Amino acid sequence: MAQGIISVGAIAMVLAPLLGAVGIRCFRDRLSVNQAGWLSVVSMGLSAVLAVMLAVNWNGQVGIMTGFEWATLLNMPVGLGIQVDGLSLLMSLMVTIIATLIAVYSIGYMAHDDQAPSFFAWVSFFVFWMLVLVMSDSVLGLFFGWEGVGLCSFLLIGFWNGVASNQRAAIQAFVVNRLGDLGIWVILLLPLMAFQPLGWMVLSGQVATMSPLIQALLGMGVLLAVCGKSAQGPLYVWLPNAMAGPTPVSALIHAATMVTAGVYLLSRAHFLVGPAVQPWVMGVGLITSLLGAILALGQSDIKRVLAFSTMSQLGLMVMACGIGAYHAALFHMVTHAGFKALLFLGAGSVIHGLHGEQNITKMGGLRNHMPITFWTMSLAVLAIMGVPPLSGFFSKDAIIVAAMGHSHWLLGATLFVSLLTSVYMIRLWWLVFMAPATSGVPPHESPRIMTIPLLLLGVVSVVAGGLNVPVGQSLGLMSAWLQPVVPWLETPHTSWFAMIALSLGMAGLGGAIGWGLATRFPLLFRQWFEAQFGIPLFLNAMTAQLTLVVGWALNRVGDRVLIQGGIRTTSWALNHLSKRILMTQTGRLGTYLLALLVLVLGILGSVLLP
Amino acid sequence: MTISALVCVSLLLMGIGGVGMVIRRNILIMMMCLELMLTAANIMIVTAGAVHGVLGTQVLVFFVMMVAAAEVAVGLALLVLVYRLRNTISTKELTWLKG
Repeated sequence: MAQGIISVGAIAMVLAPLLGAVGIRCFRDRLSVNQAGWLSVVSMGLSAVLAVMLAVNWNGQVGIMTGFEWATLLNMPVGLGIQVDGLSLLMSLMVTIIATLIAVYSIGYMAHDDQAPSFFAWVSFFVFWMLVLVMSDSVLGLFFGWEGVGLCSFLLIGFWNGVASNQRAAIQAFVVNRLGDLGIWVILLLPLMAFQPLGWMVLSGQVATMSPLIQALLGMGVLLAVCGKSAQGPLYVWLPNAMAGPTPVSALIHAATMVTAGVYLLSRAHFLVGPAVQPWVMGVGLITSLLGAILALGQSDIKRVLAFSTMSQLGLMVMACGIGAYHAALFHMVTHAGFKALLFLGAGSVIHGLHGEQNITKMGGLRNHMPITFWTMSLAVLAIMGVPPLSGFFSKDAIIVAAMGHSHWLLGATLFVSLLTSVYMIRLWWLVFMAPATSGVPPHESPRIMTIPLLLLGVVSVVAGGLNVPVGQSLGLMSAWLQPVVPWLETPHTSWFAMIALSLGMAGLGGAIGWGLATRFPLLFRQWFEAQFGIPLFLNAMTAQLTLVVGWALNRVGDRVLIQGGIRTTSWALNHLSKRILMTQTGRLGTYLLALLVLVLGILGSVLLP
Repeated sequence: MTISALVCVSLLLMGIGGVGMVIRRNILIMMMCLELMLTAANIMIVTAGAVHGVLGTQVLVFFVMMVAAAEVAVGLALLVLVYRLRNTISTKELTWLKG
């Protein structure tokens, strides 16, 4: 009975945002911005309430509800179903709660936009796909969600499609994500070809029976998919450009939820990432987090700083997954969703208050004009810097401790990343709020509908750390939830005092450097940072331009010489041959009679002579 | 009058007729060559009949002559029509068979 209620609740939770999206989309011409916004908030809020109720009533067991047999592929029944366990509940709680708060904020942010009803439809649609992604019990369901969120991301990045660069950014995000989706194809097709079922729980038991090559391929497939969706490694290029979308979208999709799908996939499919692939995952995550943190140091666009910061934090999570610290990665993902959404919404509030200004060097002195934005954003800055007792401290600590258990150099690299985090966050904070005002337009605080979500997210940023604080010998609440489906990594014991001192030290040192940067050299190496050290150019040359060159060469050699040349030569030869044959068709009786005579004589000769 | 002389005359007429058919342009001449070839065939038939003592060949020759006469009648009529239409009876210009 309880199981039935849970399954109905889970299905309702997934479908509620879809209903909202369809409703808004169908009546978008008749709905005002407010109505569409509140419809979206209600549909997602219903989801959030259901998620909370599910979490409260959940019995701690992995529950799989197969919805229906969808198809039979290679004699394997492929069904779409819902899996209720600690991981999916955690993800759905995070997604629905953050999405609801951001939707409320968007009502204020998008108030002056005629197209806003469509915006709310897409946001609800996104939440539906994200829930499909996290609640599915098989690779196939995850794949549908994975593509669905990619589609919504594309639609929302290019939401203001009157500007060509926005369209380019949307297309780039979509194409780069498709590249990563190849990885999902690998983990979708390889098990099918090996006659294995696609359900997560069944698959996890079957992986050991596959050949090492298949296992390695599966692991690499997961890594590729993560690189695409979570902006890791060379596939990061789409994330900074994705900031072309409206700021609430950046907060929801490109900071808090969709980009964390990679971390979710790594945790959900941890059994696919074997010891052979784990170092690669760690390496990619570490390099990305370093690169993101360094690139964030010199950006002048407020949203780009946050985008690179997101990339860096995602890199930390992927790195943690690579050393097996899945719980730490997921913990950081949850806290990061809170404070990064807050940072983005705060940035949106600042942009809103300054009438579209995004350049941080032209801001300054906003602490007096926008007190609520200032205080909540300061809280988020402290949280991401890892200042105790805010949420970032606990989750980043978990990653640092895991890195310590791995090796000294990894600990050093992780600490360096968190130092850089403090540097760029304080630089941003100082330039926006503390530096002397330079803008002529008097800024105004955002309306209450935007500041209330900021305050609520501020509360989340403070208390989310309590989710996974181990008490004595027992695990934290979140780890206890995750334990049945995600492996737990033993980490060295450290004293709280040492960790607090370390975190405060890093934050203080980084903050001092960041303050120095902001006051002395706010635009150090500006062109280098804006060109991202030429990395996108290099990647462009290595992929798009290289493809063009190869295509040109193939056209010259293959098309023009081999195919066109072959066809032309053949047709020329046939043409000439037919002309030769046509010459016998003179139309003169004499010719035909001669031919007839020769034929008759030939037949007579061949009959009589031998 | 030996048999070989008759065969020679027949072959000679046949050759003259054949060559004439091929090289001459005038359809009237070509029809005359055709008649020569038929005559050559007739001579060959009666010669063969005389050699083998078969009287039926004499009758066959009359049939061939009759067919030749009919053919000439039709052919000349066609020729007159062609001349009226095209104002020429030279095969140099009458090349309608050309595709």
